[in-house]
Amino acid sequence: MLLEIRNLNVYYNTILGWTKVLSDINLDVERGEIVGIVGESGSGKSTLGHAIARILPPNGKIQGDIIIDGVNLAKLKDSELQKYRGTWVFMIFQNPLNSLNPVKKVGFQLVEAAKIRHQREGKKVNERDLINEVIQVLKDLRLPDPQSIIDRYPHQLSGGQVQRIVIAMSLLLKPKLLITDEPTSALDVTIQAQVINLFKQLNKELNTSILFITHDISLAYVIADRIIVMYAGRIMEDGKVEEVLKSPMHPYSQGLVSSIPTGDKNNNKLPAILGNPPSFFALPTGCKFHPRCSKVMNICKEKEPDLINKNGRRVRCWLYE
Amino acid sequence: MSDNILYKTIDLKKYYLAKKRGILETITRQPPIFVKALDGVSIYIRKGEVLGVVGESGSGKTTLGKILATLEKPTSGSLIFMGIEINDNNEEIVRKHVHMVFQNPATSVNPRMRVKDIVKEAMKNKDEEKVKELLEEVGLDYNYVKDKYPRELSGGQLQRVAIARALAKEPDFLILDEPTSALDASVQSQILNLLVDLQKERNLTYLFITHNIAVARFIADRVIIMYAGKVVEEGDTREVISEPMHPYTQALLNSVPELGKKELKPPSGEVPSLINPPSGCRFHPRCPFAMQICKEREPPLVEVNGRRVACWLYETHWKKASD
Repeated sequence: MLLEIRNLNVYYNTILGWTKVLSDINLDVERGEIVGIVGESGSGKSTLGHAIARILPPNGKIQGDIIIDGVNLAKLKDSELQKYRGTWVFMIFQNPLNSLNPVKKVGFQLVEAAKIRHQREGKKVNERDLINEVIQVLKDLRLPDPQSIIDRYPHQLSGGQVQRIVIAMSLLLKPKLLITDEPTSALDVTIQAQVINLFKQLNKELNTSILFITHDISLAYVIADRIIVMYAGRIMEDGKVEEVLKSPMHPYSQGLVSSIPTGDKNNNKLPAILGNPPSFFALPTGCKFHPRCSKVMNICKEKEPDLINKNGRRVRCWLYE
Repeated sequence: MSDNILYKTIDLKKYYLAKKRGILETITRQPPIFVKALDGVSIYIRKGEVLGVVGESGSGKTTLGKILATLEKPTSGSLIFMGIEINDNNEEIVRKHVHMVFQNPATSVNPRMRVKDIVKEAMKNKDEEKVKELLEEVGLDYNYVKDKYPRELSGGQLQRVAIARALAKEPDFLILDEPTSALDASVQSQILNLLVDLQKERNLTYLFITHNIAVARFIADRVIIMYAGKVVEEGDTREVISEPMHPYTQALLNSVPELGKKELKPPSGEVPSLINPPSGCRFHPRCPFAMQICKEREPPLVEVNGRRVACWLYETHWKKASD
């Protein structure tokens, strides 16, 4: 087991006091596994990624355990965390420009990443070898003309190229866990497909585990082995990607899957989930999905269901108790 | 047939200046550098149909929408709306009948106006009853939303307000520029259902701009595929998506993630620069079927089997057609 999350709660301090954003997250990720995390905006999927990478904003608070390869990241002080950042968990964001320093050349930043990994492994390498390593990685990513790319600044590259530079950085750091937060949402479809294939390749060759956060279920299907559906800061369903998306158990997952447009307007209406996702300041009682659920029962309004094991999956719904 | 056509463009071009020209450039007679956002686009839209415009960023789909709404003036080419050629003096005709809905409703409505005033502003006779009717038609609770400010509404609700405002002028033709891209999946399907209902009830014509193939398949009757400022394929939505003819359309469809598809096969390379587009066919550097002629000459958009395709691969088909 690479990643074990036990009873994780995350709070944000707001004007209205401490608000619980992630509630009772338990999650295991195997080595080499790609786990897709899907949910609408405000479901807490990005907060989960930030919590694991320990880069929550200053008003965030973590409760519980995040254990990666025997090290409990949730209990480490910021100063101790410094030696785990990058090589244990590496996070890729939607806007890759935010991950790079705009006033340093791309090559400098990549060499820095390679240097950090070698230092942590206790090896000494000279600058020339590092540059060759960087160029090799850029060649592997099929970036045209790596020699000239390392002499450019991030703003001189296109969106797809910058995202590939960030992926190159992760290839150089060889993290145990890679968290990607909507890494392709800002890219065009053809470039998105290229980047997705790179992630798959990275996972196969280095056996890196990937937490793939996305709002696009079809995209999660393409890349992930396992899928986790989140709603209002909770895991609603967790299982193999084929099973969850072909026969979703939770009414929310069912709604998400059926709202992917298929067919055309003449055949039928798109089944839509009525209403809007709830606000964290006014969460409904009982099951957090009950006001929008088509199969709501009395108990749903009163008590929140637990995440239970059922047919080799985990699901949080009274229908299966 | 011809009176069924609502809007037509002939060889539409839009070049933007890439660099500001100072007095020095003018004196030294340096040639201006242009971004060729649209380069010779001829399309038509029939009354009551939904025309989908699909393309990646930089393909010119938004520019096309803006020109049709007369928000931008074309560099050359002509616009023919309901049989009348549109020029600077008669833009009013278009503006009376055409309205546009933008991607992000939060930036396309006035944040300091109440919802009812946003809708009322667009109407000629400011009739409160009519505002109520419109807001209810787009599925909003009038008493709940009327005095709210845009920031108090969710993205989906706000997009409904934007649609209500677009309908306030009783347009015949709506230009929808990625109206669901900023919304969550469950809200996206609510808005798509609403748009389909409105189109049927009011017999509207839509130009639906999107990068999402699944959305285009759902809503569009006919679709045009754009690449680097050119139309590469045009035809019945179902036919184009099930049997794409142009290599770019094929590559695009192979890149779209779908349930039940585990492999993506994207084309190599990136979208070309519009300042210096590749010679000949603009897709040739990324095309797996590129031939010598593709590098030299630009393929015309020619009818093949009831569709229009711009590709040299189908040259033999059009020779046959003319025989």
